Amino acid sequence: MNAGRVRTRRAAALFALFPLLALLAPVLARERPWLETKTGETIVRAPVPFDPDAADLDRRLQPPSWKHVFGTDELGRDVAARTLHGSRVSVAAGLLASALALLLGASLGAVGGWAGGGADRGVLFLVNVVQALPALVLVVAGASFLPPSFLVAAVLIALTGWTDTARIVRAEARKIRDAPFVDAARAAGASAPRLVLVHVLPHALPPALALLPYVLGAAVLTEAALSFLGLGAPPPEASWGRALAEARNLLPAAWWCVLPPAAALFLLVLSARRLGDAAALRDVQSPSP
Amino acid sequence: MFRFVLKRAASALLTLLGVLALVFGLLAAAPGDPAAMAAKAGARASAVSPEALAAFRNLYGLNRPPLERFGIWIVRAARFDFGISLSDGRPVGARISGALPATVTLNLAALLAALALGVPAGIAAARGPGGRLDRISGGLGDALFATPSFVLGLVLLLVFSGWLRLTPLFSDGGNFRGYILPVVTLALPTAAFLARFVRSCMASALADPAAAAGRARGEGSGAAVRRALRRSAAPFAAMGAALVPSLVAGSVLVERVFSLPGAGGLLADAVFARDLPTILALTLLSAGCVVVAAFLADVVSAVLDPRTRDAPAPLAPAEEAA
Amino acid sequence: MRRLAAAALLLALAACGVRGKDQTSVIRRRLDGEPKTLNPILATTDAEQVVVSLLSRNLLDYDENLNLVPGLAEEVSDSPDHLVFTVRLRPDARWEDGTPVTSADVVFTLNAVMDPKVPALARRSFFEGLAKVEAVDARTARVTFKTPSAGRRDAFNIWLLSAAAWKDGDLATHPRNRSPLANGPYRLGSWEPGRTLSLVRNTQYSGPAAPAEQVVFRVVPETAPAFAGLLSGDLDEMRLTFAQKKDVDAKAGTPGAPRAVTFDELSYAYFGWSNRSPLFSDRRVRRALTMLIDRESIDRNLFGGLAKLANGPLPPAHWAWNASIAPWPYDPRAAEALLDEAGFRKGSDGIRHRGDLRFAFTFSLGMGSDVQRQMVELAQQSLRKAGIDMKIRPLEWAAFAAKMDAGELEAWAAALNLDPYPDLGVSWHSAQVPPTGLNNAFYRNPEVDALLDRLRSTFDRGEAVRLLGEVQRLVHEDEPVSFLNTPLTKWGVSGRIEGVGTSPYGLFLFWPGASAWRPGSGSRPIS
Repeated sequence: MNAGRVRTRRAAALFALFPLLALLAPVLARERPWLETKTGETIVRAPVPFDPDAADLDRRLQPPSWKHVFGTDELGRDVAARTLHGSRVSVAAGLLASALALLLGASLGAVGGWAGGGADRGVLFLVNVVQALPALVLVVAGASFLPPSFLVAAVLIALTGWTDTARIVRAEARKIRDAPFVDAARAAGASAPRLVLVHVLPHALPPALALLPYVLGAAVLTEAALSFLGLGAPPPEASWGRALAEARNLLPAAWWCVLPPAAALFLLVLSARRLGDAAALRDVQSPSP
Repeated sequence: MFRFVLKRAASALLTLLGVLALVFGLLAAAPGDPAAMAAKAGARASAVSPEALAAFRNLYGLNRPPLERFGIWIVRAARFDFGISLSDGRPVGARISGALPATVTLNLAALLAALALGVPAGIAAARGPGGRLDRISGGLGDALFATPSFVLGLVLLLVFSGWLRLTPLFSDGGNFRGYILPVVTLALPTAAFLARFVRSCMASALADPAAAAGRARGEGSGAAVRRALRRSAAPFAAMGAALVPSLVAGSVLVERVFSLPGAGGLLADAVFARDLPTILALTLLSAGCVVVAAFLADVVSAVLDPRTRDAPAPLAPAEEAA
Repeated sequence: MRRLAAAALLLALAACGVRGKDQTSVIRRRLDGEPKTLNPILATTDAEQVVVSLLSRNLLDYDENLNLVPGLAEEVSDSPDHLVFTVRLRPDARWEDGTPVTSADVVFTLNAVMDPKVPALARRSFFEGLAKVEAVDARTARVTFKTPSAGRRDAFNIWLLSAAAWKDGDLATHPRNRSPLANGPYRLGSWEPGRTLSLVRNTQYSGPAAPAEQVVFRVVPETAPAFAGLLSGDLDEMRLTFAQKKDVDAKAGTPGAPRAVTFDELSYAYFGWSNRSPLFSDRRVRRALTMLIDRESIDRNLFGGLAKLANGPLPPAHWAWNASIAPWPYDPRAAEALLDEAGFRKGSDGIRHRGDLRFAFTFSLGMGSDVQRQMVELAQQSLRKAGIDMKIRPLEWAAFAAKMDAGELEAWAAALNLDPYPDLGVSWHSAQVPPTGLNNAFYRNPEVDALLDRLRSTFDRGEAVRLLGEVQRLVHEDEPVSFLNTPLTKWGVSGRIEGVGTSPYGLFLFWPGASAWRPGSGSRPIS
């Protein structure tokens, strides 16, 4: 049990690195030095001494070098700076979207699975409708109605991404509803919301949490597709997804435009999975009944 | 039983109608005029007279009120007449059946490959959580999952077809080798996803009191895995159903990269051209698959894990009886 | 052991790739999208037109200099009042089934174009004001118009429908649209939707026999796989990006390597400004905007020095282009002075103001073109430095086009393709603002209006050139939109293809175009 807690803490710390990077990006990657003399001479420069949006066509598509550690993109912008700043959009949109999706899916799934009857049919109907709705239609309609922003993107992603969680939580809730320990709790006079909260969700959440990194990864990738269609954060704001979508036509020559955002995305998904696994395992190791 | 089927059919129809209405409403209200798009396709600066646009709208019945258009389409669709495509004037049914072979081949092969790879990997990983196999399959899975399909596909294509020349760049008529790379591209991330999911379900089932009881009785690990599989049936079936919608129109980017004429590309073209008859028919197809899959998932999970049946749960759960 | 098995499998797969058939008389071409129809009067997209151009001759064809030359018609003559046109068909013009092309086909085609039930939107505008079409005899048709119009002869650059083949049923959904009757050097062999479309030599064609036995079009939407195909020999041609051209040039000289073909086209890129907006109503402001954009650097870096600066509403490749107009220079300091002069002064927030009016606006960008997006992102940076706050709003293409045509956009990026005889009135006449025409910048200059009106009835080429030159000068002075550049078109063509000619109308839409392409015996690598 102790080992589980340590593992959870470590995973959480790794995962928390990303929001931290996103917060610190404007400080880590900027042209203005950290410390300068009054005459403007640099004493301590920023680790990545470039603005993410500063274009310079005369140094476009340069391979990685000491000056530009990850090279430069099609407009001569520093890829390292853009990847750092990209975490602001990608991590924020991804986290918000997956949190919304998890919340929506877990609550609807738990209610449907527990209550059964009309409520269950209603939830199932919603799940089926949303799953059968081609995501592209929702996204294109959204892209032509709403002003592009990462908030809109996050909501759209959440609206298409909650159904898997709902299905799983619902199935688990139905499984647990009639388990002996729940019967016992019910006999002891526990109220329905309490039963759902205390007995159903802890059991239903591990598989749903195991999905979280995938919901997160899918959210970041969907943000790429949205940027591609014109939704998502508008240019020049950097995002990993858009960087990937835009750099694909530069393959195989300018591989350095693709690798950093892809690696960042990989690390984000990896750390989210670690967290999900750790949380799920701890839960399994301390069963509630 | 008859009532059960009847109820299912009614709810399935309702779902289909709901989806179609939502799609129609969203796209009919979105900006973008199919007539102007048809005129713009030439992209030369010649003027197109308003009369010509009006004639086009009249030809395809676009000047009728939206509700009436939707109603007409539904009534005709009930007789398997899905209308005429606004973008190429062909019957929508013919367009879709032309795109289905590629889609079905690609997606079914990818699903089977994903199941064949993902489920055993997940089970193996669950038997030794935290072990080397678990970590390797997890890391590899994350890498695959976190790579967008268009990047993965493009890299595979450039390496295997462009550079090594092992597979053809374009799959021409009935050449199965052209499907190898797209199937791999689609299957790998799904397999990674499935493996993690199976692993998580199995891990929780293996840690269950029932499994502990089995071990106490001296059962081997094979029996434990079998039991755990049974216990995880409901979430498995639900996940299977959740994978279905992507089968019909979920592979747009992969189709593009590999120049495959599938339903995904058809849907994307139709959405961008605001070609509503085609969009509605494709929606009907994918929604139909979802409804059927959801129904099957319920049946399967009811058979495998009787506790999920609608009827009152048996006093002794299946495991204890075994 | 396992590795050995894998290696054997790979070898077996590679062996399957050798193609048995003789490939030397086949040309393999790329389509970036699926043709929706091969109906000659409904074909509008690039993909459709390049296919039809091998299947059909026009009544009058354009030559490589965009002069009208005999095609199916040996002559199209007009009456002194320019109202009646007489079309005389070649005696030997035949359809692929051996039947002659007759005046009945001309009558049928023009009536179909004008039929409101037929969605031939792009073609119909050329025949606006048509009174009647009649057959005089089997080889002669007479076309009568209500009003005279300069550039009317260019309307006869039109492909014909066979009256016999297309006569029954609805033209928009006619089965013949997918199995057209050809009268050109090739005819349709087979068509596997979304994949390949194969043309074969038309033995009934009266002109010189087509050089290739077969032309196979492959639908390849993405540019990276297509380029891999060009390099491997799976494709014989494709449009190149600047980076790809550099790659092709680097490999030039190696046997079997593709070569780059470049030419100017009738198109230009521009940033549109709504002249109705209080921000852009002053021409000093619009000039300043153009002068803030470093088009020379864009040309040097994004187009590899292969673009020409645009100086007005006609591109350099056009016959009436006014070469004496110097494009607005890149001069940020002069531009800032112009903005100051127009009353927009930098405020404490670094943004320019005129009274309460802040120089901030939303710039709409239709998603699709990489180069266009890059130019917009660069412009945003440059304007920012000059105290102008430009927000980019990316839009999905359909929504963007709808808003642009309706004149709802304040600022936007676009590229314009012109016809060989372009009607400038539709873009710049004050009567042609949306919803009537395409003057979506809401440009208004009575002098320009008067010149454009005169042009409609100016039949003398020399006089038309003079008037158009004057229109270009006036529009350049007003700079209603920021005319950016006309990039050189870059094409990659397999080294084994000979007889490739170019025109300002592209590689394919002039005579002989791709009909003259000869597949050489160059060695083809195993794929």
